[in-house]
Amino acid sequence: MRDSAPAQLAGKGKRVAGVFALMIGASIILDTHLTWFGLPILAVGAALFVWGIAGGRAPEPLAAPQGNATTEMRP
Amino acid sequence: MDSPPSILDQALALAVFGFIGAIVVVSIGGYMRRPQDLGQVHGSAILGRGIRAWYFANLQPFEEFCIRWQVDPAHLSYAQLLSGMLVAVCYAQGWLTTAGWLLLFAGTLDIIDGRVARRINGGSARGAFLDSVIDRYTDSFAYLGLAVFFRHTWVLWAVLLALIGGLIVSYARARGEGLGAQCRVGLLQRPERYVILGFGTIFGSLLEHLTGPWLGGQHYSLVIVTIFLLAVLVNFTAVQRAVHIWRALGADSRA
Repeated sequence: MRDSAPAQLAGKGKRVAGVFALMIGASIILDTHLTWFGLPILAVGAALFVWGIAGGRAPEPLAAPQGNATTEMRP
Repeated sequence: MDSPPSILDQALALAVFGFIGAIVVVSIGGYMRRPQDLGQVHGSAILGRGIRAWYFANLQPFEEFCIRWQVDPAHLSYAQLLSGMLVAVCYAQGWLTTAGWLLLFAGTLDIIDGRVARRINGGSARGAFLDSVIDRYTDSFAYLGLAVFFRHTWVLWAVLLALIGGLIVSYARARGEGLGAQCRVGLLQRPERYVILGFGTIFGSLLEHLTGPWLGGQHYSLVIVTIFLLAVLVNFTAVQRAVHIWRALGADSRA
């Protein structure tokens, strides 16, 4: 399992970079006729933002197995 | 922009407004749950310590990235200069929303390069000098672009006043410190100028996209109000600093 603090930091970085890219991409589409240029920037920004949200949260620790529960097949 | 905004433009502008609003609400909620460590963060009347500490915390991943990959802070300064040039081009073309975001991006690079330089080598004199020169260029490029855009209107005068005020604010501090007077006072220092001009042009331009078809053309009212406000407040700051340094130098000052 990845250490949660660096993962959260990386997630935050992706979210911030995503917001900037998303906003700059949308602005290019709004201000200019260069949609072909703004759209990929917007898409990359949206992807980074979503990735940052999905990957930035600290992973929940897995529950320890109770008793002698096992999935191994017994002979 | 040549053609009037279409319904798609209006929808996108509304979506951008909504996205910014959502980020503000989520950020305030997060801040209320986990207040930032204010540490040695300096604040001002407009940008308080809390908001600065929150923004610095958001930039921490980029600082760590630059330090891990040994990015030279000078290269971040050059990127800031390039962003400043793009800001000038965008303002001059009338692409105000894009220019506003690029200006905020340039300001962000300015923060990161200073913090990275301090962590790597404690901030060298050479780096500090390069940073100051590039800051003046970036600041001036923004006003240059606006001056070109508003060249046929009276707003040009307000833009030039804001440009002069911004340069005097920086010069007063440099000259004052050269003469031995510390000067950190001022209502509108560079981060405040970036934030006011950046968000003023972003929201002003977005409003134009939303209301343009109904108001019969583009008036840039909010952008003009922002520039006028900036011109007044920046020159007030210049006088504020000049008076502070004059008093700090005291009886030793001889003209």
